[in-house]
Amino acid sequence: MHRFANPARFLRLAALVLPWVSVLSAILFTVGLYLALLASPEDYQQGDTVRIMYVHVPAAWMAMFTYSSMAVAAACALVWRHPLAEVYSKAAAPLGAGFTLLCLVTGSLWGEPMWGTWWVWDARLTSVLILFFLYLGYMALVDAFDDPQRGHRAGAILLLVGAINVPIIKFSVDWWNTLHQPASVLRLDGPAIHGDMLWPLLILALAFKTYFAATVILRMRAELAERKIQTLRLTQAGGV
Amino acid sequence: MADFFHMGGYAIYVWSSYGVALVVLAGLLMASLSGLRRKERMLATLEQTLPRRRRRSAAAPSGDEAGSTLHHGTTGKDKRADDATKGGDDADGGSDGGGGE
Repeated sequence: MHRFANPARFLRLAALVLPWVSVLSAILFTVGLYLALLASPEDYQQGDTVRIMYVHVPAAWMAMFTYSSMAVAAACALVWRHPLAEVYSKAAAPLGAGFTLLCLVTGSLWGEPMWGTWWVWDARLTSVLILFFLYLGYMALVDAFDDPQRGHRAGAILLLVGAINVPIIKFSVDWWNTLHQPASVLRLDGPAIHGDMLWPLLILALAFKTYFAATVILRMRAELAERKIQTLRLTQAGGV
Repeated sequence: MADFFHMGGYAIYVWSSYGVALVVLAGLLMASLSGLRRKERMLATLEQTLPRRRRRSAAAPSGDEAGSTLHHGTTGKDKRADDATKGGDDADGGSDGGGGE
């Protein structure tokens, strides 16, 4: 693990990985969108609104994945002082917030025609809204201190405390009687969704994931450059 | 084709979902890219103004694109060779680079 704690090694690895994930993401989006919009059938109950699922569900998965990975990174930052962990969390947060917003908006756009309402305060929707606020809170908190180290420390603690929300989101549809349907892909008895709809969903989920990988690499590089700038400014201020 | 855009009467819901997805994903990507470029450019100018750094970046090919500066700054081996040939006051520069590695 500590082999990768080294920013220069990370940058070399990132430079290798970035072109691959970028191209892969472009291909997956093309294929996934073709399948989702053209090749897949409409739902026998929901008609064409089922196509919203191909955006809504990958966005929701990525919202949860991003937060979980940030919480793990926060633990690594607090316990091992892993220098890249903070960089990762800070870089990933706006992306996670974007996925969560996308999930909420597309959910609303799906809820209006199918449930007859844009929004209900049911457990799933409310816990995802809380996830969105956790992202925003983290982003605000990290930048709220003059000393970046203190900001990162506070942010990491917020991420760990907020991690309790992730299982709540996941199991909210089972624990409470919600308007939101329970899981149909990630379930013990296998996916309860036909292959014609499962494939575009999985391909677009992978497209979202590779998009995230490429973008988070760009953001981490920017954050590392920012840290270098701060160090240079300090030496400049102290050295002259 | 008209069917495709009509989306069984749900056009507004389906297409705005995909539209929002495009705006959010493309927007975040653009913002990340421009942020990275801006910071790399700032880093490059800052390294030029620092006298100790100037000699080192002068050893690298001049007219560096902002985008490649970071790589030059971190490709390790060339730089270490650079430091070794310059000796002397690069003890500081060397440890600087080491900190980044």
